[in-house]
Amino acid sequence: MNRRLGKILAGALLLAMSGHSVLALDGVALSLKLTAKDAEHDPDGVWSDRDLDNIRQTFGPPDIYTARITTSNGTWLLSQTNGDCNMQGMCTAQLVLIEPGKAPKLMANPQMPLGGTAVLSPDFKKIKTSEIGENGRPLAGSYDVEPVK
Amino acid sequence: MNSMTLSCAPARWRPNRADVFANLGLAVGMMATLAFAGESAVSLLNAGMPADCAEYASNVSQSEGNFDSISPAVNGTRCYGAFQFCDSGTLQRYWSGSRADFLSRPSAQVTAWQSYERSEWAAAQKNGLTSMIGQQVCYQGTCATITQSSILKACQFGCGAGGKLDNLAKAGLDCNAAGTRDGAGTSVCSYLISGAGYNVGCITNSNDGIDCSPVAADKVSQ
Repeated sequence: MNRRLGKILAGALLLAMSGHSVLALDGVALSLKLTAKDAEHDPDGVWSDRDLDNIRQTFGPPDIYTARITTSNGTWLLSQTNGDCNMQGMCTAQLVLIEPGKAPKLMANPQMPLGGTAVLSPDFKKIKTSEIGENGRPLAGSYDVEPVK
Repeated sequence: MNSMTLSCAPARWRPNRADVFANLGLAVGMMATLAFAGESAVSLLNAGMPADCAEYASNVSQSEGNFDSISPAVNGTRCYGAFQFCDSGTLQRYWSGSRADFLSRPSAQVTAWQSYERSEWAAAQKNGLTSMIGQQVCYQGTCATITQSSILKACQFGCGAGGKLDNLAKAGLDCNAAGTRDGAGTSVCSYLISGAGYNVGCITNSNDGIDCSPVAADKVSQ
């Protein structure tokens, strides 16, 4: 009972600290929104100018979708482009932890619908997605949140 | 005595609920398998697939669907055909007609698939992922030499910057490295291995695989 209450309070605290997220049942939802259309440069620095140029040459104008929450241990940024999507439309996203005074760290790279929503667990150890598998059927995705080299 | 035995036998035979549900589950599973059995190399050839890519395309289709497959709706999105192009934008990128026309025209699906694969190959080249070709990858006791078809198949995990294949390359082909698994926990390495050795010349304009289909072999001999 106390553990459940703790989770709810942790979630409520996260919600209070964030202007861009919605409290989900099992964590905090990061809902991607289009923030840079036909981008030549990523203001967050997740995607390099070269990455964006490659997307432009291969698929067309690159769009960037982002969502972020600020917590006591830093800001969690989820960033996605329209340039790396499979046949089911699941596109690579990057979860980045930005801690004060430190270089941003890539923590996970979920695949998810373009402009979709992922849920970061209250303990920041998992990020969950609602995906479409390669057979066209729903897939509840779960990714470890840990430094990616 | 005999009539007594006969009249009692059906009552004794009644299956328990667990058996009924188990059999029902098996039946549903078999139906699902039949519904998504995938297209053969021959049927893909008949739909206009270039002979050199038919075996690989069939391998991909086995995980996806048949020409007339429609997926259940997931958040309003459905996926169509032998390669399960979804109408969240991907289908629209590679097919400008209606969904019904796409389903009823296997040749359109084959053309869309080739176009998609060429884009993926171009992305893999631009992002330096093709440099892994020729290297050996080992995962769960199975090893394979990475070929062009390995790369194309693993692009299901993304072949752009920061994708699973990119991370694997940066991690020196360490299949246990972070950021190299999909949401179901499947390693990109398993796709590199299962996709290895196919001829994908119709996409890459060169062949480092093996021709298995009779038509492709015939073409080579000519």
